[in-house]
Amino acid sequence: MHNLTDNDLIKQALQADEKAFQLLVEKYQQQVFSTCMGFAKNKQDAEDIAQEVFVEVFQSLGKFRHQSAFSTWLYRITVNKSLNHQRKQKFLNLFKSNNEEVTYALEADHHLPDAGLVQKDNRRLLKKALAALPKNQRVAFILSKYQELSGKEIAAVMNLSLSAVEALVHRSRKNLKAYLLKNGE
Amino acid sequence: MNCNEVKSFFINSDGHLQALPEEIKNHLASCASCARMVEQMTGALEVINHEKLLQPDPFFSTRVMGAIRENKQPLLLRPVGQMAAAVAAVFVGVVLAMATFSYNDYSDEQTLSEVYYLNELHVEPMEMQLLNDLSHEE
Repeated sequence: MHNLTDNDLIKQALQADEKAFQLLVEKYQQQVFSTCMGFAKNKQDAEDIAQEVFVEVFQSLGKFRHQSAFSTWLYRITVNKSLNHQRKQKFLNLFKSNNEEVTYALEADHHLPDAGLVQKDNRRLLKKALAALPKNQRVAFILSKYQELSGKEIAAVMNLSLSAVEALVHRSRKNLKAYLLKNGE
Repeated sequence: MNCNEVKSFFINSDGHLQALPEEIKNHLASCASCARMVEQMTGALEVINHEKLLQPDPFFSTRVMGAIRENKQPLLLRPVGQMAAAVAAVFVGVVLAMATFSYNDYSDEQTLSEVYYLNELHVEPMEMQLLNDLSHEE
């Protein structure tokens, strides 16, 4: 069963074969999770988003038209879910005091066994810098840096031309570094 | 080379920070502020390499399948559905209680208004009534 292609697994999953869908999850969980990690504040949030992604994929599998690669479709859902999560977090943060936010960010780092204070500061700074990027630049940067997708692959996920993606990645790198240099204390 | 030029160099560089030009190295050696700034930037960017290596929980796929099975259940059997049903029940209870309470209010008003209309002694004093009664008896 491990030698089956994505299309075979999708066909079997559509015939209510849970094992086939679980194999799809196991095959793509690392990619989905690490993409979510780029958008989320911590590992727990990234796992929660990744879980939502696969539940959505299961529910929408019948709508997958095979017009793009399964992984492209999966990345699109992952990006949308991650952006929705960020939007919700932004809204929830309106009701939190600054202290609560800081505590949350520190708690979020407990999953890192070697997370020293400097690393926590670095993570916090990176997350702030990523959040400060315009949405399209953020998506392009995360797909390029966390997933190491090629410009062509990112273009397929974002439904943009290759040149547009290249410009987005270039600008996102510059803006991110400018933010880090300006706000790093 | 000044601090702004150093900043601009790092913003526009392609990320190969090992082979820095001599003048940048000299500036960083003499300017603590720029050195700290660059250290912070490279440290933050290094976090990406660390996060890329993180893996989901070993039971992640089992958890996903559990969530899918739970989503397949009818709404009322799910924890969220049960919670919503409980909230709806409390809401109905509150609405019924408010309706009952407002009915009592209304009946109190009626009683008061009845008392008000019965008490018309200022319109027709007791003496007048007694005189009327006497005249009827005669």
